[in-house]
Order: sequence, then C-alpha cells, then structure tokens
Amino acid sequence: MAERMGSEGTAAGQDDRDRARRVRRNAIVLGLVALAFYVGFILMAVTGVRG
Amino acid sequence: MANTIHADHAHDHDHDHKPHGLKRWLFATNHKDIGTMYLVFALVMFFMGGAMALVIRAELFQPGLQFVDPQFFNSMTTVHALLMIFGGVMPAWTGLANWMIPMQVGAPDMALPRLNNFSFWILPFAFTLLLLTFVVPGGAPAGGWTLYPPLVLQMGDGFPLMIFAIHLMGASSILGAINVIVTIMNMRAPGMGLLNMPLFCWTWLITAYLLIAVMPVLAGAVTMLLTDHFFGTSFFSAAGGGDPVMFQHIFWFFGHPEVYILILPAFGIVSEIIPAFSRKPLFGYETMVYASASIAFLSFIVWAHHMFTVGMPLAGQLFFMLSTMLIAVPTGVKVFNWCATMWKGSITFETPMLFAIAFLFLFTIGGFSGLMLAVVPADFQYHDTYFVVAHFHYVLVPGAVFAIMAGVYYWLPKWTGRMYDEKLGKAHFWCSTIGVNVLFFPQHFLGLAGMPRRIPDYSTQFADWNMVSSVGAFIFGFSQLLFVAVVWKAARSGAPAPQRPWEGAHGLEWELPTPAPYHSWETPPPPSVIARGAEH
Amino acid sequence: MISTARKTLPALAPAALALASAFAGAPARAEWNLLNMPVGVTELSKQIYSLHMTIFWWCVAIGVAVFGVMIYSLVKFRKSTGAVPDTSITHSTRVEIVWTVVPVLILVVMAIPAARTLINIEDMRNTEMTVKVTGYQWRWQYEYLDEGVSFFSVLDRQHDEIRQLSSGLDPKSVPDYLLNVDNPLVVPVDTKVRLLLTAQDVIHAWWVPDFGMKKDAIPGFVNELWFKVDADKVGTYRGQCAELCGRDHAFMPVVVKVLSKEDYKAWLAQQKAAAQPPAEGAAPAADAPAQASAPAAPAVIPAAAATAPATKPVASAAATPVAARG
Ligand code: HEM
Ligand SMILES: [Cu+2]
Ligand SMILES: [Cu+2]
Repeated sequence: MAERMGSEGTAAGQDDRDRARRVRRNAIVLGLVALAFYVGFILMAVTGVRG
Repeated sequence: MANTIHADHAHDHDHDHKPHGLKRWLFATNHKDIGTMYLVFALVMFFMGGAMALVIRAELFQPGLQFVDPQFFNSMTTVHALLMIFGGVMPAWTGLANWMIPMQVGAPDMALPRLNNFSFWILPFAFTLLLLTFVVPGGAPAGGWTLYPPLVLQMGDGFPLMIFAIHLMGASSILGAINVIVTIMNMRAPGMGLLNMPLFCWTWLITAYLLIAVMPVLAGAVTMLLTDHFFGTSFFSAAGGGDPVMFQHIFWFFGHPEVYILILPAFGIVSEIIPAFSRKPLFGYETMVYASASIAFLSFIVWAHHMFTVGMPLAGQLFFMLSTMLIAVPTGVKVFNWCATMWKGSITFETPMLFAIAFLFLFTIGGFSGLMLAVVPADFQYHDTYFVVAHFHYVLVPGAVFAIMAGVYYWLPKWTGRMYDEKLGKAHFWCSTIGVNVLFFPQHFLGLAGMPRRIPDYSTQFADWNMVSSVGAFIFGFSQLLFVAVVWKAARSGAPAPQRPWEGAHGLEWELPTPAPYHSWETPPPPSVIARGAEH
Repeated sequence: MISTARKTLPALAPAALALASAFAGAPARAEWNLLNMPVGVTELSKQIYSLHMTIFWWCVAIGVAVFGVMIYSLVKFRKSTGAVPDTSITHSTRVEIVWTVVPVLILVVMAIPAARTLINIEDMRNTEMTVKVTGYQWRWQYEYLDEGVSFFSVLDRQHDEIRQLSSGLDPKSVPDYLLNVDNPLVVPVDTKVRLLLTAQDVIHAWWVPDFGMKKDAIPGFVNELWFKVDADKVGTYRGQCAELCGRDHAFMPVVVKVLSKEDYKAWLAQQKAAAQPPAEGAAPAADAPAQASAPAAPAVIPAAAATAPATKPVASAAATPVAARG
C-alpha cells in the first residue's frame, strides 16, 4: 500500500487512479442492478402480475 | 523465479502496517484478516446450527416427545437451516473468496477493502438479531426456513427482528458479491486472462452474479411479508385479494439459484483439488466453465420444482419437470470431467483429496435423488418427506460442507505457514464420512416409507431408521471437534510448510511464499509465473 | 396402509443389511425393511410407483458406471503403485459431447412416461363423487357435497395423550401411533372420488401414500385431486398432513376408510340420519378437543363451490373471492 501511494503522479499512479475509478463505477452499477431487482420484484407484486 | 519473488516481498514485511490488537480486526481492511474473520464466524455458526440439529435428532431418537415442545422443535428446524445456510456455508465461501481470490488472480487485496470490512461486520449484528428472537415473546421463527405465509405471519414479537436479520444477511452477501466481481474484473495481474483463472475464481464469479440477481428478490419477498404483517397490505393473503402461492414463486425464484450459490464455489474447489492430487490437469477446463455458466442460467427457470403440489397448471408442471431434468445435464458433465481428471493420473490421498473424493461420490448420490425428485408424479410422493431432506443434505453436507473442509485443509499450509497433522486430518475425514452416511442415508428410506419432514414425533414404524440416523448425527457432530483440533494444532505447532506443499498444485497462490505475505501480490506476478500458475 | 407389505429395494438391501448388522444389538423388527415407496392401491399410485422404480434403476445404472470408473481410477492410478500421470489428457470434445447427449436421451426417455402419468393425474373428468376437504390448525374437515354430511377428523384422543411432552406413556402401546383419528374419511371402493382441497388458516397438505397423491390445501383457493381405490382393496389407509402448519403439524393424520359400495351406502344413510336438524354436523365435532376457534357447525358449502375448478377461489369465512390464479 505504502509503495502505491508513493507512486502517485507517475504513470503507474495514473493507472491506479484509472483502476480505482473503474472499480468504483462497476461497484455502483452492480449495486444499482441489485436495487432495481429489489424494487422491480415488489412493483411486480404490487401491480398484480401473477404466475 | 520463486526466489526472486520471495526477495521482492521480503522487504514488505517491514512495512506491513499491520495494526495490532482489537483494532486490527474491528477496522480490518486486509483481505486475509477479513477472510479469517469470515471463516471463524462461519465455524461458530456451524457449531450453533449443529447444536440445534442435535436437539432435533435427540428428539427424533425415539417416537414420543421426550425433550422439547413441538413449537420449539419447529424453531430448531427453522433456525438450524437459517444459521447453516446464511451463517455457515455462505460466509465460509466469502471467507475463502477473500483469502484466495486476490492471491489467485495476482492482486494485492480485494478491490474494495472498506466495503469488505462493512459486509463482514453486518453479519454478527444480523445473527444477533435472529438469535434474539429466542428470548422475545412468541419465540424464534418456527415456520420453516422457507418462510411460507400465512404460517410465518403467526410468529410472535420476533417477526420484525427476523425480517430485519434477513435483510442484513442479504445486504452483506450482495456487498460481498460486488466486491468479488469488481476484484476479478479489475484487479487481475496483467496477462492474467479470464480463462487463465483457477476454477474457484470462475465459479465464485458466477456465484456472485447469482447473488446480485437473487438476494434482492428474497429481500423483496420478506419486505412484502413485513408490510402484510404491519401495514395492512395483502400481497400474500387471499382474504385481501392476494395469493399465498405467489410468495412461494418469489421465494423459490430466489431459492433455487440460492442452492447453486451454495454449491458452485464447491465445484470450483473440487476442480482444483482433484487435479492437484491426480497430478494431471483438469479435464475440459473450458467445458467446466461453460457448464457452471449454464447451470447458473438454468437455475433461474427451475424454481417451481419446489412447489409441484401447490396445484399448477399441467403445462407449468411439464415445463418445470423438463427444465429441472435439463439442469442435471451440465451437473453430470462436471462429475464426468472430474472422473476423467483422475483417469490415468497419479493419485495420492492426503486429507484434502479424501474430502474431494467423498464429495464426488456423495454429491453424485444427491444428484441422483435430485433427478428422481424432478419426475413430477413421483415428486407427489416424495415432496415434503424425509426423502427430500436426504436429497438436500447429501448435496449440502458431503457436498458443500465437505468442499469447504477440503479447501481449508488444502490452503491451511499457505495461510498459516504450517502443516496440519495428516493422521488427525484423516481421522476427521473418516469419522465425518461414516457419520454423514449413517446420518442421512436412512432418511431416504424414511421418506419413501412415508415419514413427512419437519415433525417432532412419528409413528412407531419409523422408529428404527430414525434411531440409526440419530446415532449418525451424533457421530458426525462430535467428529467436527476433531476439525477444530486439527486446525488449532496446525496453527499453533504444525511443522513449517514449504512454499508448495502439494506436488501437483498449480495456481498463483502457490507461487507466493509460505505463509502468504500480508499484502498478497504487491508487485504483479511476471508472465512466466502466471503461465506456470495457469497449468490447471 | 403402512402395515401392508412393502417391496424391498434389492439394490439397497446390502446397504441396509450392513447398517442393520452394525446395530446388531437392536432387537430385530419388521420395520427395518420399510425401505421403499408403497405400491399403493390405486391405478395412479401404481403408475407412480413404476415411474419411481424406473428412474431409480436409471440412477443405479448410471451410478454403477460412474462409481465404477471412479473406483477403478482410485485403485489403478495410485501413485503408491507407481502410476505415472498422462498429462496429455486435457480434453476431448468427442467424449464430452457423448456424455452430454447420452444423459439428455435418457432424460427424454424418462420424461415421456412421466408426462403421460401426469396427464392422467390431472384428468378430473368423470368423477363419481366429491368430498370437500378443509385443513385447520390442526384437524381436517370432510364435507360430502350434495349429501349434507360433514364432520371433523381429529387425532385419536388416546394418541393425543401419549404424545404429550414427557407423558410417560409408550407410543408402542397403541396400534398406528399418530395415524389414527376419531372420524376417518369414508369412501367407496372402485369409485373415482374427487377431493376439493382448501384450508381455513394456513397451508396444509393432504397425503395418503397408498393413493399416491399429495396436494396442498391453501386458504382462499381450491385444489383438486382424484383417486380410485382398486376393487379388491377395501381397508383403512393412513397418511399425514405434509405441509408444515404450525405447532401440531405432526398431529393431524389423514385416515381413509375404504368400504365396499354397499357398506358405503349404508354408512352414508346412517350419517344422513344422524345429521338431521337440529344438530347438523355438531355431534362428531363436539368431542374433538381444541375446537374453540372452529365454527360451531361446519359451514354449509354453496353448491357452486362444488363445481369450482381447481385454483379458483372459494367463498369462505376467512376468504373473500379473488381473481383466479393463472
Ligand atoms: C442434479 C441436480 C438437482 C436436481 C435435479 C434437484 C432437484 C430438486 C427438486 C425437484 C427438489 C424439490 C423436492 C421437493 O420439495 O419435492 C429439490 C429440493 C432441494 N434441493 Fe435439489 N436438485 C439438484 C441439485 C441440488 C443441489 C446442487 C443443491 C444444493 C447444493 C440442492 C439443494 C436442494 C435443497 C436445499 C432442496 C430443498 C429445499 C427445501 O424444500 O427446503 N439440490 N431439488
Ligand atoms: Cu431447486
Ligand atoms: Cu401440517
């Protein structure tokens, strides 16, 4: 960890920041997908879609 | 090469910045520390759930009620299942994922360390809430882990505690799954392609997607139970225009993928251990990946095989019978490929391999009973009997749980830097394997002879096999103390382990020094090391 | 039913014997050989039994092959005997296709008779009489539609005393422990009987293994099933509630007394006489314990409900009609 912090500003640091951004974005998207499933299923039940 | 890496890492030990004392665990962000906490938590839950199972088997030792009230018995079966599934097997998998995935993909840690800390620390709260229900008026949940309304709505004051606990467990697993996906997708070492990954990473990746898709569905279902109970909705009450069977559809839309969530990581572990101890690459690596993916896909369209007796239209029953039979095909392919992996190998029988072999035999027996259950008319007889209990315990105990134990034995030297005692490990294996069969095999007979599941007392013609089964339960349960002894002894005073304690083991984790350094791959492994690791 | 002879699974017998001999101390009892599903006494139960045995033998056959290969490998390819790994075997598209396609074929072969039996099971035409079955916590109510006969069926009192926690009474002192009721369902032999199943409080499931049939009884909805007991199978058949329904789920047995057609007629006439007003249906229910929450007399079911198709809602005290579930 310490090493990576030391490399801020270098090319490697740029890579790391890119990756951190990608990680955050992916995580948020996945979280939203989960949330959508949750809300979606309740909505489905509310509107009375029956098997 | 190994030496160079060792040298790279040697200086790391100086600035581990490993916090000490309670803080190390409370504020843990290190994947190994969090993995350890998950595994210890799972072990505690296995023992609590196991104690409940022994209450069940003690009561069922003979006909007549000897020890507990029927209501408390129902709480035992319900909470046993909830603890084992959500507290035992799932956290154990997350613990193993935490420990192994960064090491196996060449990453220093999980992608989201603080989220990792959070998703772990939710769990103790969730299970404290669940266990608190034992001391509130009305007692612990007793309507079965399947939570069917209207019965579940008859629960006492503990109802909201249980619902909240389930929400927390779900949130924890979703966060854990997100972490696994982003780690695998973003943190692989340069040159580590997806198809170079060990199968444990693959099956966990697929499991994580399943978790994200279905845990919210469970959360939705229990939220609707909550509003039915407290806010006057009637999603599941016919009196208000709802439908109790709709809950079952929603629950099993979660529930069937859930059973594959419990088993897919096991497929991964077995797919690594069998090649390692057969000294031969896994047969059909890519087929294994595709089979896992098709199992995951099919698991979304078989849910109603749990509810053949609710009175579905004929076409529905036929569809779910065919789809259920279909899911047995990729499962079978996996078993055949494991057999082919051992074929013309050079096999040795260390404890991890013994557990993997037992998995192979006994999981297959569970697959056979699954196939029988798929035949709808026959399921009218099997459903809700001990035959089903035997089926799912065969796939879950000598299936999922044996694979967890195989994994622990396999990687323990890497984690602790010390070998376990092989003799003790084998003793643990044999006691467990004999115990588990004496425990669960007779339950097939009981179910076929007509004994319903979830009953505290039974007619006298079921007495003999119940007694056998209970004896097996106590053998199996107490054998697990051996497991604790083995792990404890190894961690304390085991002989130092070499970097690669298993001759045939491949994978990046074996390219790291033993014990694995606190931060795994601070410098990504060079391509040559990746290539050597990827000889699955 | 359960006292009738059972076929022993030949393949399981060795395992059973091994287990039995491991517990040689236990007194030998006839129940050790209760290993398999009953063949049953109806057309459907026999079809189901034969499906069960077919899929079982397929599993045995596949098991022999798979376990055979495993055991052979474990014996033949051990390092201790000098086995050298052939690391060139990594995959083979050909064999992988074979072991994908062959199971698919086996399953198709299995699915055809299963589908045929299923269609039979769902065939509700030409039923000769109908009984409405309602599950309560924890007893069954049987209503003979069009006959005005109706009664509750509760666990036998003596059994109920024995089953109390630490009663000190021996379950083996009564025959059919937990499988006896005060008023069994009575039906004629060789008659296609239709049951309409529903429940008043929570979900229950009505099950008699010898009839091969189990179906959920769901509050607010009506399910149906049928059975036709073979002409030579007059007798008493026993089963249990099969869906967890609360504290006393284990204690609401299902008992069906199958009479010859003449005996059934006589029984029915007697019931009708007894059921004359003013005490309609109350007599059998009166001696049942824990009935406080039950209606004093069983609700009279409107004739319309008798013909309601499965999964249509039923009008009852607790449930107002709702849209049909598809
Ligand atoms: C060959 C593949 C499989 C098939 C065809 C299959 C089929 C079935 C069927 C039809 C049922 C419903 C039985 C009933 O309630 O009447 C069932 C129940 C169950 N199965 Fe499987 N199964 C398979 C594999 C698995 C695996 C791998 C697991 C988990 C590791 C699993 C876990 C369960 C559980 C937990 C239940 C019972 C749930 C409950 O009612 O509490 N099964 N299975
Ligand atoms: Cu399933
Ligand atoms: Cu019940």
